[in-house]
Amino acid sequence: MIRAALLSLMLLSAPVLAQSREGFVAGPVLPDVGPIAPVDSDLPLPKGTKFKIDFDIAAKATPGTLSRQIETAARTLNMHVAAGVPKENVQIVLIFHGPSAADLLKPEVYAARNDGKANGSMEAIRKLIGAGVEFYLCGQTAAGQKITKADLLPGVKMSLSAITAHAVYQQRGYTLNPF
Amino acid sequence: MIRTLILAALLATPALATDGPVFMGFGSHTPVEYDLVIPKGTVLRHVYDVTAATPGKRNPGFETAARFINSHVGNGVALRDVAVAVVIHGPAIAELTRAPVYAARNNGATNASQAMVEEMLAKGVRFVVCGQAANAMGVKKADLLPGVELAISASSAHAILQAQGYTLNPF
Repeated sequence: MIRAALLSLMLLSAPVLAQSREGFVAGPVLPDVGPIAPVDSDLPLPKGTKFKIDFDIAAKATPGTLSRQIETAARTLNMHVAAGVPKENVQIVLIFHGPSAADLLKPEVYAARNDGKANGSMEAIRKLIGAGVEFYLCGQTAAGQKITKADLLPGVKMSLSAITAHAVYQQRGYTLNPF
Repeated sequence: MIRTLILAALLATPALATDGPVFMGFGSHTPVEYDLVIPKGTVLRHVYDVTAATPGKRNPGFETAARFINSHVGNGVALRDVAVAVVIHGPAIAELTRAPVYAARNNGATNASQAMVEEMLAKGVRFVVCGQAANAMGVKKADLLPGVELAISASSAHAILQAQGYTLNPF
């Protein structure tokens, strides 16, 4: 009884973060977000390889669930560190515009805009920011959706526009992830 | 009736498609009076991202990469100066599997993209499969057509190829 209650409590407290998928294991940086599959890779990572990756995120997660693209960013961090790249050599920026802006909102703001539902990406965002991943919201989107800086989760930054952020980060040597 | 015939003709022959010179029968291109010159000595390294599978027909994402080669070599760029990679991370992975694997996963159907992919591989086109997606789909390295490469992930492949000077095709 207690075990069942505890188990269900654990499952409820981490519903979307720890989805087990056959062949996927917990990653070394964020064990409960972005599980990874070991791969016998043909594409070598020469010693000293540094990753600077820019993700563009437009789609909003289904309310209450973790954004698949945010999870992809977490997986990207996990799998490259697992493959032997030092954590400081995997730099990731996520640039949000359009409907995805909602996933960056504080719980009370998110709930007010989503029928009282919880922001299913919040924990993952907190952990990713803690691991050094950067989050930017398009300022034009924010204005259009009446989102202010105070509405954003701690650590989420605002740029003039998503286009600006992509241009600046690519000039800094970030490669653009196309999905 | 005549109008229908004309329509059918238009649909069947996209405006003056030119076959080859590298790949015949797929990846055709149309002659263009172009303004954007290709400076002498230009080396093109270009990468495509493909996710959608197209059962029963040649994958248009792969074919676009063939068209890139045909159109540039057809306009004077040396084949050795056109390097093309295709990164695959969704259902399209199935279209890079060996015939028996494809048939087993698709009710005995044949892979309409296989011959094209094999010709492209023979001409140096790189097909790089997302290891995360392959794992999720239960596709193993041995299931892939010979010459198809496996990467840690599609994000990884794109980052590596762009760092090596490949430009990302935005569509």
